[in-house]
Amino acid sequence: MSQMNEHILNQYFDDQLSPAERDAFEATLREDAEADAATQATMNELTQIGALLRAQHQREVAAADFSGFMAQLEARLPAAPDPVAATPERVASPETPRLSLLGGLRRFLFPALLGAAVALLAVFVLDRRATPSPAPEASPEGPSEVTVKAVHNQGNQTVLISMPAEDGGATVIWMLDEEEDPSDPLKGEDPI
Amino acid sequence: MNFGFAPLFAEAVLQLTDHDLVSRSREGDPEAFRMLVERYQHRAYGIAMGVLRNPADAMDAAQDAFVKVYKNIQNFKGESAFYTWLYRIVVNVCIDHIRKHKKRRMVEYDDTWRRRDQAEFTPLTGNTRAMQPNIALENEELSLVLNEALSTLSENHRAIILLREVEGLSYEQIAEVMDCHIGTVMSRLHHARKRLQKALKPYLEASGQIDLAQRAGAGVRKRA
Repeated sequence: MSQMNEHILNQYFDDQLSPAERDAFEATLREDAEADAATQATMNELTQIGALLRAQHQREVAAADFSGFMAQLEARLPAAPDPVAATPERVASPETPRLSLLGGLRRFLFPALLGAAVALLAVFVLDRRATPSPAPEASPEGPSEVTVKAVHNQGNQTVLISMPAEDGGATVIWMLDEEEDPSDPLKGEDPI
Repeated sequence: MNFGFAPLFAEAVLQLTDHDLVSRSREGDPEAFRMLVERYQHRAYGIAMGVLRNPADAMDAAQDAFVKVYKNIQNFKGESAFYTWLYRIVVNVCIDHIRKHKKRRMVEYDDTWRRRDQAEFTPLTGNTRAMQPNIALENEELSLVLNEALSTLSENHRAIILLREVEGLSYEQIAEVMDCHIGTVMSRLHHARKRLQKALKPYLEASGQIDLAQRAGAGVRKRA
């Protein structure tokens, strides 16, 4: 039997031929006794192979233990998606390194900027005093060395401090504020 | 006191279609997802076992597939049947698994069949026609020959012949599951059958008489 006829036989066996194709194929078998016998033999074998595969499949599934399947699966499932937390930009995972960039900025860049601002303040204080004092907080004179022109609370994380500089300008410094005091009398004032 | 709620509940669950359960799962109903798993865990495992030929790997693959279903159920639009979508996930998980472990698996197969070739078997005196297939498979030799023949097929060929012979999917559904052209399905199915015919020839009965009117669709399997 040619490969083309074998393909057609498979389709015939699986009932995937159109009615016209099926009629034409059966007409061929009626006219050719040899092809008819070969077709019948092949279909018999395919039927037995299918039965063996199904029996094998049933044995394999029956041998499996599903008693812990659901419990194991539930242990692996992520928590029910939260409408806010499930937003992709908020999910940091190894599979989505691109999304962790914003988190990195928040985590590292902002504290670095804050640290730089504090360092700038220290340099400013040292420069004003012209003494080798190691750090502003170690200075016994403290705030008396710095003239603060205005302080403006910008929220619970940031405060603007304006000071007169030697060239007549102003220096702005960002600082952390642990708790915002709603009764802060300076709130809302423009220091500059 | 039995008010008969349990049978009523069971009947109600049976009446819930896959579409109902998928819709509820998408709305975050964990019980609906649990019902989907219970409805399809055996089939998912069966397909994975058919492709991977290893019970532990098949159980892992079935679990992986349902985790993917859970994570992606919002993306399932319902344009195809749930089970074809699930089968596609299962097959993809299995193929990924084989690619990752191909080298190790080849060694395992070689060792397995070398050991089994050395074992003594009682020769078959009958044939599969005279016996029921499940009884015929109790003969270890036939079971091993079938396993060996399946293991010589590629994972794609194994998946296709299982989807056809065990799950009873149409060519179009198999093409959807395997993400390939229907012509590829026909070609692979033909190849897989030829390979199994050749391997199992000594165990298959010679042709009997099937009336021509009963031949068309003789291999059709309806999904349970």
